[in-house]
Amino acid sequence: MCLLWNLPKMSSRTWSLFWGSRFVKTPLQNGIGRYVQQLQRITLKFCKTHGGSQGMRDYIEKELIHFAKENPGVVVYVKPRRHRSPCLKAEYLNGGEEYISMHRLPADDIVRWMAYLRGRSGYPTDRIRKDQHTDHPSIQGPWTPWLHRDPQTNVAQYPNEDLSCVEVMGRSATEELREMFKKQKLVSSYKRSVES
Amino acid sequence: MVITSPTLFARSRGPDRFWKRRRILALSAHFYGRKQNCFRVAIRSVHRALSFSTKARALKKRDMRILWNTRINAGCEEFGLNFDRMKIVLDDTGVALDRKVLQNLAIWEPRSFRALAMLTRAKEAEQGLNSLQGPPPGVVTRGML
Repeated sequence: MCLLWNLPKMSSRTWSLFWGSRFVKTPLQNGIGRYVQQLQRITLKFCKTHGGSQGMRDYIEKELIHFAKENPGVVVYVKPRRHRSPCLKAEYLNGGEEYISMHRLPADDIVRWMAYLRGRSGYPTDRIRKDQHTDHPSIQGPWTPWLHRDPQTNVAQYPNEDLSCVEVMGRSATEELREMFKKQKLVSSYKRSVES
Repeated sequence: MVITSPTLFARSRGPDRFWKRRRILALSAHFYGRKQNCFRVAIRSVHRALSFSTKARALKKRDMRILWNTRINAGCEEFGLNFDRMKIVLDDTGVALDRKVLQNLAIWEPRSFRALAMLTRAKEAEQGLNSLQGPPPGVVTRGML
């Protein structure tokens, strides 16, 4: 069973009870007072000659300097390593790590992946149960069974004539039929024979 | 062949059977019996579990809607209404609140929900619907004829 923890995460689309789930949370209320970027360092590993690293090489040449200027708190390491496929390895302040392969990806895609890693906290990507969270769901106060009831019922003395009366619901079917019968003014044969 | 770095010593012999099976067994870790540990039994259960989760996405939306309807009806019953009548009035008056928001109001903002129920009653009285007093003067309904 312990081998399961060494497993690299499957694609984030496969949610399972094993990987766990969580509600939306801001770790340590980051951003409410001051926002601290959680990304600590990012390592770009690539090969100087292989074709799969072409996009990575373009990115390092043109876009990486902009990323480094915009994120002065992030340490950027560039590791040229022969005969290895390119990858991004991000490490976060809470010790979390994220490894993404950039093999054969163009420079545009790498720009987007860098922006993705920039904004993440180091917590693992669990399935999020709900997209929203609030500590104060109610302003008016949640519903109670006595909210819409007359407070007089609290101090009423029972038996109580007014509170025990029947609610007027309209005419019942029996009453309607009786009225219809009376309108017809039918007389039974027995009554006719009695009167005559 | 000139081997210029140790990485090139590695030979790709084929797909890694152990780790592929480990990925499936990770998904079956919470199953019962042999289905969680034995790959040949687990693969069938895992495939079924994944297909169930795919099909359940539409069912979840359906179930949530039914739950919301139940909750809104419960909130309306307190005022002698039901959701069918409230929905008609909300559509007529242009209140574009969906079921999710209405059930949240019914639970967490009950006074706002009461306001919507009173709106329903007022609109129905204006149109002469669902009242014990009958329709307003000048209106003839089928029951009168």
